[in-house]
Amino acid sequence: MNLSILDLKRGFDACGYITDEEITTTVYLALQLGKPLLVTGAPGVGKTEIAKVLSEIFATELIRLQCYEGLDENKALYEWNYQKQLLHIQMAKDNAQGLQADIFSSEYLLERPLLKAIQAEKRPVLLIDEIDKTDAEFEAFLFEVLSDFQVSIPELGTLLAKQIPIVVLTSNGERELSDGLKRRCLFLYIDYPSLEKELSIVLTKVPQVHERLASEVARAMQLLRHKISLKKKPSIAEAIDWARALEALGISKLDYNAVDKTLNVVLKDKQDQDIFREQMGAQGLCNMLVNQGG
Amino acid sequence: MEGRKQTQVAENLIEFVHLLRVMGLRISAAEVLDAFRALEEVELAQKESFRAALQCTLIKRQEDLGVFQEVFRVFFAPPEQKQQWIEQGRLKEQEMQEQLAEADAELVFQGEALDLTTKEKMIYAGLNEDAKEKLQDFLKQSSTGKNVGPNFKPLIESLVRGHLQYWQNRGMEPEDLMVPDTGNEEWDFLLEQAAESLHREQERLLREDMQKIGDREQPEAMRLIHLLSRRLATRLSRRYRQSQRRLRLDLRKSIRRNINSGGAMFRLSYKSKRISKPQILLICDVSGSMTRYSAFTMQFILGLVSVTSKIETFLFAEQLKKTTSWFEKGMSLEAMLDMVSGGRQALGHGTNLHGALVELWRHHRPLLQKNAIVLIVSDTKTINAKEAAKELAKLHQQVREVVWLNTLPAEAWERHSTVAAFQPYCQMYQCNTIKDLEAIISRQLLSI
Repeated sequence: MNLSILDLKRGFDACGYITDEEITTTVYLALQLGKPLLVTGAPGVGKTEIAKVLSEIFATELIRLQCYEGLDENKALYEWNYQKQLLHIQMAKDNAQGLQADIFSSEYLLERPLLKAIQAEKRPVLLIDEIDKTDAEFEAFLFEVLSDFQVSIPELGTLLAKQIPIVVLTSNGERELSDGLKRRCLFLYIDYPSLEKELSIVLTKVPQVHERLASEVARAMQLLRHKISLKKKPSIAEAIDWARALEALGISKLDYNAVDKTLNVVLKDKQDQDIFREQMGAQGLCNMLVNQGG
Repeated sequence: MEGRKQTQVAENLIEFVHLLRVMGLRISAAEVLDAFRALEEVELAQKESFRAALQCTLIKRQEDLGVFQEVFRVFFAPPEQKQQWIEQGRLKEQEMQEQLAEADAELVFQGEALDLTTKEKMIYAGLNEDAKEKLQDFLKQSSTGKNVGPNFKPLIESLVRGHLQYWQNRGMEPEDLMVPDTGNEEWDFLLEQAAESLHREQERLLREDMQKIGDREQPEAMRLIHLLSRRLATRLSRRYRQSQRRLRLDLRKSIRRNINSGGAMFRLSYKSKRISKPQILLICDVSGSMTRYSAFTMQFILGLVSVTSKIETFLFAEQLKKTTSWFEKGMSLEAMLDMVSGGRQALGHGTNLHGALVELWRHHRPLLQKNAIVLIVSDTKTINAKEAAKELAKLHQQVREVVWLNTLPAEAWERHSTVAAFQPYCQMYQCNTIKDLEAIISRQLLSI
């Protein structure tokens, strides 16, 4: 698994993920130092994608733990298959020999993502998505697991990780994470991309789109992000969706009708659509694109 | 890395981290060790990789990135550039000393220099000639007035302070970002250089007095406040959730649920502990002096209410008005601000906290539960302060906590007797920048 920064960059490129020096170096260091990588940034900038790409680069399993309010150890780590144990006991009742097997053995253990990652034979990529959605208590539990990579199951003893997984945590910054967790991770903030980066992302992800249209989409996205005060600025994901939508509709140029027809692909909030119409408008956006020399 | 080079890198790293800490970033020793290990993995000659290695190990919050980048820029600048900045810093310092000496010479009362702080003298130095002359005239006339003795000096000083404060509040002298002293003159100059460039909108906005945030920057500031309030609200609505493992088995329910399997308990039910979330009462001052802050407070409440509904809101000036329903109805911020300015006619321009608290007791007594947290947003300037303090003491005894978000800067607190009067009965925090608000939310409110 020893890759140089350059190999890693090539790997990202091959998977269609356009990176810059900062992203590559940070991911590389997380791999080298064996530290979890905490990725933050606005929704849709490609945080989760990093984990997916890493699993592709290393041709390994991606184990995903999607966090949500109320997530607890049972759902994240392991659970005893209570129903199966009960059935076994019921069957043993009718059997003269009684209980034959230990009902607290791995056969009755339901592995959840964290345990699965620890038990994996080949170093997997563990994606802990939207960690900011969990409770602080779960976060505390998580950073214990992430620092020791071992799990104690009272009935089975301590299970040590066979391989230290590549851990990627993502956060949308809805809640401040604890200092303990942040200290254990390397931090990567992914900002909205520059015009050039966005253009190459659109061209990579939607190869069938004409370069001119891709350029118009990328420039329009920059204008939407910087010229008006939207509640939720459109992200890279929206730029890709927009290019795909325009392509699917057979539109080759961004004009008033094209923008008006596809606005809801880019701005997914009614209030933002109103702000756009009020402060810029489809025609205004097209005029700006023309003035820029498109 | 070879021995000597390693020591040099370590020394530089420690100095760099020291400067980051001086600028207010919290960096632990473990993070410094990580940074050192990371530097062993990258090519030091490649500046971008080098920067990324330090950034990902030392910085763990998006808000701190701007400070990091600026300090990195000045710290790792070429030596000639650094020398130039240090020279510039020295010149500036010299200029400042001259200005201070000039202020000392010009601001005299009966031949004696006024006892003003450096900051106050610098405000004076920044005034235009007209304003300076007016102040000097005032001092000259007061010095020669009838029956005016040296014991008048403290009074005159206080008047001059008020005058300077007025000019500063009028925005004639915008406040710079304060760079704390490092104890090393050269580093001080470099940090000042970093602070000067630290104008990324967000950082600036976070540290700017909310009253001074311009109209153009308001939407961004509003967005930040909205994000902060959502953070608080999501935390409030989650903090008491317990995992299934810690719950008690509900035998009665489990038996009923499993009747169809002959009583064999395949599906279990648990007793969940009934825990009441704290009731939040937000009382916001919308009097004349708080006009600008009210917009931000409204945005803050909107964010809170959008996630958790257990918040009762009140506005007050000379009277108190319950406004919970405004937020429940989903009124837009603009409409709300219109209502506030319209309501100001009804609520009055002045501030009467005593009246507001009496009204709260009289008409909203059931809301003042033992588990309630009362948040007051106000600059403490009120009539009937003594009576108001008594009411506040009563409130303090009744509810779980009274938290006061004071929009006056902390250094001005001692000049206002109302602050001292209210402080014993509440936890009071300075809250005039978004940064303050964030600190209060993450360190104080969430630990209640």
